[in-house]
Amino acid sequence: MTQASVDVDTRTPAPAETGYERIPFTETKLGVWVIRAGALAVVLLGWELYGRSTNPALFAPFSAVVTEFVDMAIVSNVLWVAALDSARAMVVGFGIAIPVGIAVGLAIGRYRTVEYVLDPYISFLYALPMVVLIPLLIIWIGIGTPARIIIVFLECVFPIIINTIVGSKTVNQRLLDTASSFCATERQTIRTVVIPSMFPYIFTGIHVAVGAALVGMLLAEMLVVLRGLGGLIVTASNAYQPARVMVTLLVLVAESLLLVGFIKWLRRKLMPWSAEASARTA
Amino acid sequence: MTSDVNRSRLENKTTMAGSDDIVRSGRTGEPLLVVEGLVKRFPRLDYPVLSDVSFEVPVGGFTTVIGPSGCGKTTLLRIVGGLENPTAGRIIIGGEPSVGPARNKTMVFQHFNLYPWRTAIDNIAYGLELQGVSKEERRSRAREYLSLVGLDGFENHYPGELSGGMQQRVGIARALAVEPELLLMDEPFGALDALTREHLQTELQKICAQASVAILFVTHSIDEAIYLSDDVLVMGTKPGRIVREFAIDLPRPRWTYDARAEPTFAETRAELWSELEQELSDADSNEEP
Amino acid sequence: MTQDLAQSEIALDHARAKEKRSDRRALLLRILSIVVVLILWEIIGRQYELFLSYPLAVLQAAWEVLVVDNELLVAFGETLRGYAVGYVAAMILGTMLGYLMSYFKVLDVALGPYVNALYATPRIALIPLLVLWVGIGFGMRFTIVILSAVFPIIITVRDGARSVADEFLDVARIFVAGGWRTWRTTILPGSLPYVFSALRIGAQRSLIGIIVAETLAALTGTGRIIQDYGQFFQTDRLLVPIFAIGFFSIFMTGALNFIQRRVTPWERR
Repeated sequence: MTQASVDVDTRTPAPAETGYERIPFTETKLGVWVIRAGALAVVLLGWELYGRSTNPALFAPFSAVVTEFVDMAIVSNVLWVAALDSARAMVVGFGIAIPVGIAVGLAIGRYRTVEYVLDPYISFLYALPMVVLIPLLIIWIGIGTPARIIIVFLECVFPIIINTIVGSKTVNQRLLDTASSFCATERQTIRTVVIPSMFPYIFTGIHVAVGAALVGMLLAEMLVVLRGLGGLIVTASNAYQPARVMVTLLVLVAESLLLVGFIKWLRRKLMPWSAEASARTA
Repeated sequence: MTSDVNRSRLENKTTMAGSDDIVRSGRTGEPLLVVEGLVKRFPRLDYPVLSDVSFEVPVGGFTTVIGPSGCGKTTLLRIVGGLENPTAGRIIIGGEPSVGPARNKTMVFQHFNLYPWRTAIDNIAYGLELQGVSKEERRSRAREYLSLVGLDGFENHYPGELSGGMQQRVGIARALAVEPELLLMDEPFGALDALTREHLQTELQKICAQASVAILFVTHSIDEAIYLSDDVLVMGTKPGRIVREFAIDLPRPRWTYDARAEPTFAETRAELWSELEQELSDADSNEEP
Repeated sequence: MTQDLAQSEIALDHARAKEKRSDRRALLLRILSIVVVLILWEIIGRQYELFLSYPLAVLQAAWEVLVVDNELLVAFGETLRGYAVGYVAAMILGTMLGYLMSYFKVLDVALGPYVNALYATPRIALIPLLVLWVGIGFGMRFTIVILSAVFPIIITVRDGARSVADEFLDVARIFVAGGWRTWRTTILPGSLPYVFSALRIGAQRSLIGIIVAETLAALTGTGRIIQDYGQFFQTDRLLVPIFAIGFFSIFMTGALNFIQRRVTPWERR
C-alpha cells in the first residue's frame, strides 16, 4: 500500500493474537458470587469462633443466634408480634407524613411568600435531630401510641417537604414553554408538566423518609414506650441476652433493606424514564 | 486496495522554528507512525471492530481517517493513543513499538475533557506537571502555548467560563505543551458550531505549522478532511478497515488562499463522497432487517 | 440506573447545598416572620407555660444553666468531645475506605453488601449492645458517632469517586499518570462535592447518634440533661438545649458549605 520503505525493527515480535478481551473476574456474575460467598464465609466463621471464645453474657456466636431465632420466630412468635407492632406505628406515621409533606412542599414551592415565612422553621426543624424533641413531646401528649406516631411523622415529614420544594423549583422552563405554546391552562400545565417533573424529587424525598421513619420508629420504641423491635432490643440487652438482641438486629436489617429496596423497585416501576433526580445534573 | 497515488507534496509544511527542531525519528522520509495489521474484537460482538488496519503517517504529516458512524475510527485512535489494547497487530512510533500510553503522543478530545477544577493555564500545564517539570518552568511553557492558541489573558479562567471554541483551544494547547511527536485528534471540532469550526480549522493549521508534530485526525466531515490533511483514509464498517486512501493535492499553507474554492477540492470531495456513500449503503445492507 | 437510598440522600444534600442565596425581600420576610412568631409565642406561652414556655423564660433559663450554674455547658462539653473525636475519626476512616472501595473492585464487591445493609439500618439500634460491650463513658459515645457517620461517608465517597467521568480518566491515562497521580489530580478534585455531601450527612447522623446514646444510657451529657429537664417538666430549661442543638446542626452544615465553596471555586454557577 505504501511506496516509502518501512525500516522497522523486525527483531521485536508482534504481540500474539490475544483473542477476545477478557472481562475482569470481579465483574463476572460468577466472580461476584464467589467473592461474596467467600466474604460471608469469613464473617460467619469469625463470628462463630469469636462468639464461642468470649463472655456469653455479652456476645453470642452465630449458632446461638440461629437457635434463638428459631425460638423467637417459630416456637413462640415474639419476633413477629414485635415486628408487626413496630410496623404499625411506623406505617401510620409515614402514611400521614407523605400527603402532609407534599402539600406543604407544594405550597411553599408555589407561593414565594409562604416560602419566606415558613422557611426559618422548616430549615430549623429539618436540621434538628428529632430525638431532642421527645421529652417536649412527652410533656405535650404523654407516653403512648400517639407519641410514637408523631415521632415517626416528624422524622419523615421534613425530608419530604424539602425534596418537594427542590422539585418544584427545578421544573424545566423549556417544558413550561412547550406547554404554553400549546395554550395549556394552569391546571393542565400543573397536571401534565409540573407534577411529572416533580415526581422524581418527591420520590427521592419518600425514599429518604423511609430511612428516617425507621429511625423514628426505633427512637420511639427505645426511648418512650419500650415495645416492638426497639423495645425487644432494649429489654434483651438489659437482661444480658445478646443472642436475642442480635436476632432482633438482623430482623431490623432485613426490614430496612426490604423497605428501601421496595421504594427502589417502586421508583423503577413508576418512573422508568428517570434515572436520578439529582439536582446536581448540569 | 490500491490507492490513488499522487504524493507530490508541493510544500513542506513543517517549518521548524528555532531550537525546537529536533528531528526525532532519525532519517527523513521515514514514517513516524506505522500501524500494522491492527485487529480489535470485543467480547460480545461477533465481527471485529477493526480488521487488519495498516497505514503510515510520515513525520510532520497530517492524515485523516474518515468513515461512517460506528466504523471504529475512534477505537482506532484510542488504540494508537494507548487507551485501549489491540487484539492483534502493533503500533510503531519513531521506530519503536508503542504499547499503551506514552509521552510522545497525546490526544485532543471531541468534548474537550478539560478538568473543570483547573484553570486554563493549569490544564495546559497538566502533562508537564505529570512529567515532573518544575512549577515556574511549566507555567512559562504553558503560557507560551496559551499564547500560541490565541488565549492570552485567559490564563486563570475556568473551563466553565470559556466558550466551546476556547475550551478546545485549551485542549489543543494542553496536548501540544508536552511536545509530542504524534497528535491524535478525535473529531475535535465536532462539538462546535459551524463558524467556530471553520475558524479553528484555520487556526489548527497555523498552530501546527509552528509546532512540528504529526497528526492523526478523525472526522466525519469530508470538507474538514480535505481542507486539513495530506492524506485521507476512508474506513469501512463491519468490519472496520481501510477501504481507500486519497492523497490531497492542495498546496500549503492553505489559509493564504481560498482552498475550499479550488476545483481540486471539489473533485476530491466528489470522489470521497461517492466512496463514503458506497460504504454507507454497504453498512445499511449489512444491517439486520 | 436504579437509585439507592444513598443516592437519594446525596441528591437531597446536593440540592440543598446549591440553593442560591435569597434577596433582600426574602430576608426581610423571614425576619418579620420570626419576630411575629416570637411575639405570639410570648403572649400565648404565658398562658400555657408548661407546654410552651415563652421566650423570656427560655432566655432566663439559658442564663441560669449556662452561666450561673453551668451544668448545661458541662453537658455540652461532654457531648462535643465525643462528637468531635468520633466525627474526625469517621471522616478519615470513611473517606479512605470509600476511595479504596472505588479503586479496588474486589473490596467493593466483598464489603459492599455489608456497608449497604448497615447504611440502611438505623445505627441507634446498636446502642444497647454497645452499652453492654463498652459501657457508658467516652468510649461508647465515640463508637456510636463513628458507627453513625462512617457508613454514609463510605458510600458517598465511593459513589463520588465512581462518578468522575470516564473521559477525565482518559485524559489522565493519555498523559501517563500512574494510579496515585490519577487519584490526586483527577479523582479527588472530581469527587469533592460528594466528599462534602458525605461530611454533611455524616455530621447529621452522628449528632443523632450521640444524643440518642446519651439519652438511653449515659449519666451525663446533653441527651441526659434533656431527659432530666423533661422529667421534671422544666420546659423553659428544656428548650435551651433544643435550640442550641438545632443551631449547632445548622452551623455544622453551614460551615461545611462555606468550606466547600472556598475549596471548589470552579463550581460557581
